Formats: sequence, C-alpha cells, structure tokens
Amino acid sequence: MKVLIEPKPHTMVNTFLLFFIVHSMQIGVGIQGYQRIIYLEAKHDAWISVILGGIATAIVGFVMVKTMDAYESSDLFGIQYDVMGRWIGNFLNFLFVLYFLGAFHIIVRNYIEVIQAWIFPEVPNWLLALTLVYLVYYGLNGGLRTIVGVSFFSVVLSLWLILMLAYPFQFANWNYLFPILESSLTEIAMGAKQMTFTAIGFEIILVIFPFLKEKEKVHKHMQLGLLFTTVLYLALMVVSLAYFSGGQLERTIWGTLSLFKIVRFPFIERFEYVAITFWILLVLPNLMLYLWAATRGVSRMLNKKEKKVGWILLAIIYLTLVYPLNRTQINMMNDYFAKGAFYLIFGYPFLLYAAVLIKKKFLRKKGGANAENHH
Amino acid sequence: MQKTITRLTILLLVPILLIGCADPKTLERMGLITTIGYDLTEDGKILTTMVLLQIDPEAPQNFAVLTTKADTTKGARIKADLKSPKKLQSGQLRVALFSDEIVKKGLVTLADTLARDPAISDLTYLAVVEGNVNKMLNMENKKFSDISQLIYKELDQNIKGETIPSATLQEVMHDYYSDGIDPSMPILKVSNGEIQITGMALIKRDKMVGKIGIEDSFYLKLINDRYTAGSIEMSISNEGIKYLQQPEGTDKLVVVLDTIRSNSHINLINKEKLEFDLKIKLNTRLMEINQAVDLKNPANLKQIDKELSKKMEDDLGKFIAKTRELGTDPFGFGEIYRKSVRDSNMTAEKWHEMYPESKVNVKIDLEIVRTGVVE
Repeated sequence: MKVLIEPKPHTMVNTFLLFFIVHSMQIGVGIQGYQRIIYLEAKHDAWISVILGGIATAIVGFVMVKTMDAYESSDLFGIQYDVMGRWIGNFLNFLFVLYFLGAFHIIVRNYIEVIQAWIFPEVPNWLLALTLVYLVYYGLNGGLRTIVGVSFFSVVLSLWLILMLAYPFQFANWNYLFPILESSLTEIAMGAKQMTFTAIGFEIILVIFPFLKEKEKVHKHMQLGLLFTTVLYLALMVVSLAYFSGGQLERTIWGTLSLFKIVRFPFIERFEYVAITFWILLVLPNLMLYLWAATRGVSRMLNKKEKKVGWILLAIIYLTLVYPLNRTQINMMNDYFAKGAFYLIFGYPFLLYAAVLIKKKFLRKKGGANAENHH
Repeated sequence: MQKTITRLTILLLVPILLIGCADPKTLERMGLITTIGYDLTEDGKILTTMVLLQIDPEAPQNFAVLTTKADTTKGARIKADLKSPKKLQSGQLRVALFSDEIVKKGLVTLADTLARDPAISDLTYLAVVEGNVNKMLNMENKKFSDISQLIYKELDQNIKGETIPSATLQEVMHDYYSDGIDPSMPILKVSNGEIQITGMALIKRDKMVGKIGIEDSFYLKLINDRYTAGSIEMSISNEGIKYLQQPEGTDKLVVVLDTIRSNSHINLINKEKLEFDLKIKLNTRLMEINQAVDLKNPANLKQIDKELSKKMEDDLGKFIAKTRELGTDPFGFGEIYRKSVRDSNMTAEKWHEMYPESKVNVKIDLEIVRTGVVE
C-alpha cells in the first residue's frame, strides 16, 4: 500500500468546506433523541454533559489533525500501515472499515425506524433502505466533490430548522434547569460519555485529510465545525430540559422530534412530519461519507478500483439492512455501537498519535524522512 | 445517451415505487375523529365516543357519532372501525374528554395512549366532563352544526382569552411526570342544553380529587402564567370610598378588571418549616364599576386598589388552603422547592406529604393604571 496519497488537484476540496463536512457528519440520527439517554445519567445537569462532550470532541479533533499533520499527505489507512506494519496495520484498517460500515448501517436503521414509528408504519424496510442506498450510490458515483457538495447543502438548507425551536421555547420553564450541579461529577461524566453516539462523525478527517487543499487551515475549520455542533447540541438540550418535565423526558425516545410536535403553521398543522422527512437531507452526507471512507479503506488495502468496491460494499450493506429488527434490538445495537465507537474515536486516536510520534522520532534518528513509500 | 436514459428511468422508478407503497389516505374515505370521549360503564369497561367529521356534502349533518365499548381504547377503535363506513383517523383530534368518574379512577393510561400515538397532536385539549360524555356528544343542538367544533372553539377561545389555564396533552403529561406540580383540566358541563365551562378539575397524580370554580381558575392562571390579557369580575367592600351619589342598597362594590398584566414570583423563604412567599404584581384597567364612585379622586382609586389586593389575598389564601387539604399542588410550589433545595430527591409522593404542611404568604400588589376613556 502506498502510504502517501497524491490526489489530483481536480479531486481536492477547499479546506473551508471542512466546517460543513464535520458539522454535517456529526448531525445525523443521534440528535433526534440524545436528550433522553443523557438525562438518564446526568438528570437536569445534562447540559453540562453536553459541554463536556463538546470539549472532548475538540481535544480528540485536535489530536487527530495533529496525527495527520505528522504526515505530508496521508490518511488513516496509510498511517496505520506505516506505523504498525503490514499485519497489525491492515487489521486495524479492516477494523475501521467495519466501523464505517457499521455506522452506515446504524444510521439507516435508526432513520428507517423513525419513519416507520412516526409516519409510515406500513412501508417496508427494503424499500426505504433501497431509496437511501440509491441516493448514496448517486453521491458515490459523483466522487468526493459531489459528496462534499451534498454535505454543504445539507447544512445550509437545514439551518432554518433551528428557528423552529422558538415554539417550544415559549413553553419553557427554566426552573427545571436548577439547582445547577446537583448531579455528581461522575454522573455528569457518564452523561458526557453517552454523547458518543451523537458526537461521532468528525473522525472523517482521518480519511479526508489528503483531499483538503490548504493543510494549514485544517485545524481552524475542524474546530469551528466542532464548536458549531456543540453550541447547537447545547441549545437543543437546554430547551428540551426546560420544555419537558424530568419524567416525561425519560419516556421520550425522540426528544428533538417531539419538540417539533407543537410547531403549528396556518398552512401546515403537524410540522414534525415535515421535519422527519426533511431529515433525510441531514442523514445523506453521513451515509455518503461513511461509505466513501469504507470504500477508500478497502480499495487501498486491496488495491482495487474505488467505484467497483463502493458498489459491492453498498450491495452487501443493503442486504444487511433488509433484515428486520425491533425497537429493543435496535436500542441494543445502538448501545453496543456507541460503546465501541467510544473507545475507537475517543480513546484510540491518542494511541495512534503516540505511535506516530515514536515512529517519527525513531526515523529521525536514522536520518530518514518519515512516511517513505513502502513497496 | 444510453446511460443517461437508464439513469433517468431508475430515477423516475424510485419515487413511483415509493408513492405506490405508502398507504394512500383519500380524504373522502377517511373518518376524521375530531373529538373523543371516554366514559366508564357499570361493568368496568370503557365506553368510547368518537365524533367524526363528515366530508360528504349530502350528509344530513356534518358530523357523526360512533359509540363502542371495550377494555382498551385502541380496542374501542377497532370496534368502531367495524361500525364505520370510513377508515378512522385520529390526526385531526382536537379535544379528548374524560368523564369525571373516569378521572377519579385515574387518567394516565388513557392520556398515555394519546401521547403514544404519533398521529395525535400534543396540542390536543384535554377536559373533564361532569356527568356523561356520551350523552353530551349525542346532544341535540340546534344552535351549532358541529358539536366537536363547538367544544373545541369554546375551550380554545377561553384558553387563548386567558379565562382559564391551558390543558393540552403536552401540559397535562408534563405536569403528571413532574414531581412538584399536579395537572389541572377544565371541567365542562351540560346545563340547559348548553355546554359550559364551570371551572377546573384538580388532579393529584392522575386522579381527580376536587374542583374549583371559574374565579379560582383565574387565580390558578395568575400564579402559573404571566398574564397579558384576560378579565375578571370581583366584589369588594366599600369601606373608605367616597361616592358621587348615595349608593343604592348594598354595601358591596363590584368591579370588572381587564387587560391584566401580571407577573408572579414564588420564593422559598424557609426550607425547614417549608414557607413560601408568593408575590403577584398586577396592572389592570378598570372596565366597569356598579356604583357611582368618584374616580377622579386618587384616594378613592388607591382605596379600591387596596381593597382589591386584600380581597385577592384572601381568596388566594382560601384557594391554597383548599388545595392543601386536597393534597394536590397545581401551582408548582414543589418545583420551586426542588429548584431551591440541593439534593432534595423530590418525588411526587414525598411532595404530596410535604405540601399540606407548607405555609404560603400571599402578597398582591394591584394597581389600576387606567379607568377607560371617560371619567
């Protein structure tokens, strides 16, 4: 495998778009109902957990970009291969491919469940999955620049949804936020850990890095994207805590969607139907980028053409999606995935960075530049 | 060219497949439930009454009433479907009525099915009916063409006009699942062939324990919400008031206040002895007065202000004492306690034990800021 990647200039994207990529990757199905799982741990101090979670993403994001900076132009797969050697490196690469595919599966699952629970209980899995998979296929066909375009529009076109928070805002009772810091620090930290499922997505930087034009601006746009997400999550959490009573929030699976239930316009009475169907726009960039990342991994490991690999992966994942799961199973799957993702995204990058630093030092002693191309 | 055509075909095929798969909901074939009512039968089952909107222009009246008896509400729905020529849909549900008998036994399982159904809006009004809901909905009414519209508009108008507190599904569920506040719901009653709002039902957890009249409903709203409009009639003693003419007959002075602006503050001033300060500030306009009082005289106005404040304090004191006796807290003093006392570990049971022991100091500061356009 080639460690260094030299993408052709016309396939690269402007670095400021990283803001949109990171933000759109983080916003997905998690945001539809993260309030409850955090509330269960941290009670009405859940908003502090959200801030803690945001800080954690900023730190991990920083380490990730630092890791990438150590190489001139490489991605996660190349770096792991370079640092850990062929066997361990490729094993880890395989693990990450599985993770990306798993994330894809989980997102589609959850989105389909929302559609079935809220709007169309009778529409079959296979059809909804087919629609999403087809749209992803479309993006994948266009290549990275198309996908980044989708994530840009996903953010821009959904910003107005934030305004809808004004409706639950009127019913908010701020007493529910007090007393501040009643939960213990461990509870708040556990709440922050529960943010994993909602906060992940920014790890896409590990794969997309070589395709960014101005490498020196990566830090800035990465952090801005993460900050924007954190602020949004925080606002949503504060409104939810004030709008729902505690016991009610514990029973509300999709807190954000339930907030939309009271939005009412003269021309549309039940706004949540619009919000839920509109959500496909928020979910699409996630799916496209995750599949693109998995495709990159496989094609780099096996040295095969990306397009073919992408189709095959898409076909395989479609087959896994057709298998029906019930609410409990989906919940369990989300939990396991979040647990795994916690170690992989919030723990492992530190290890990787340490390994990269050691390798760098070791090579410098020998006087060689890092990241030589093996084979 | 060939490729473009294939792609276009696929692109067209997907929406067609999607539209074809969802269950079509033709308006003419739907029975839109606008009001639902629950009674308890003698054998302990639930008698469900549904008012449907008729869209048929040739129908003799534009609503139809269906009645079924079953163990569960959804069971009633299935049975009702067997009686109905049209598929029943609850997306247009505006009002859910519960007989007082049923609310005395417990409301939550019934309200919960409403909250669980994504088709039902969170802004559906809930109300208690004194007597038989089924009879009320089957009532002959020559004044209004549609009984469900009548009930909905009556509730809506009075809630929006701020005569009574609002009780939507969201608010009732919110208060039920909150530890320091109890829900309350408007009471409807049929008298002389008219449907009338007679006050509010006080609910402890989910069981009706008492009721209050319209005047106390006004006070309840005064404490819970910030008033911006609304009006009330009050009678006070005429001590210290100078008249233009000799008053006729009574020594009572009756005034009508409107365009009320108010805000209320509740503070916990003693944690151990459980003592609250309730301060309400009101700015109002004097609309009507039943005696010829010299309103040019500032001392007179001041005296009226004072007497009104005193009267309100007395009434509120009695009202709070009544709720204390019933052991239900519709004002949310418990939330103030939970908010002010760290690690209170508040539960509804605990608060229901504590509340009757509490003391509330009511302080009203009323000011008549306008007296109309003539003097």
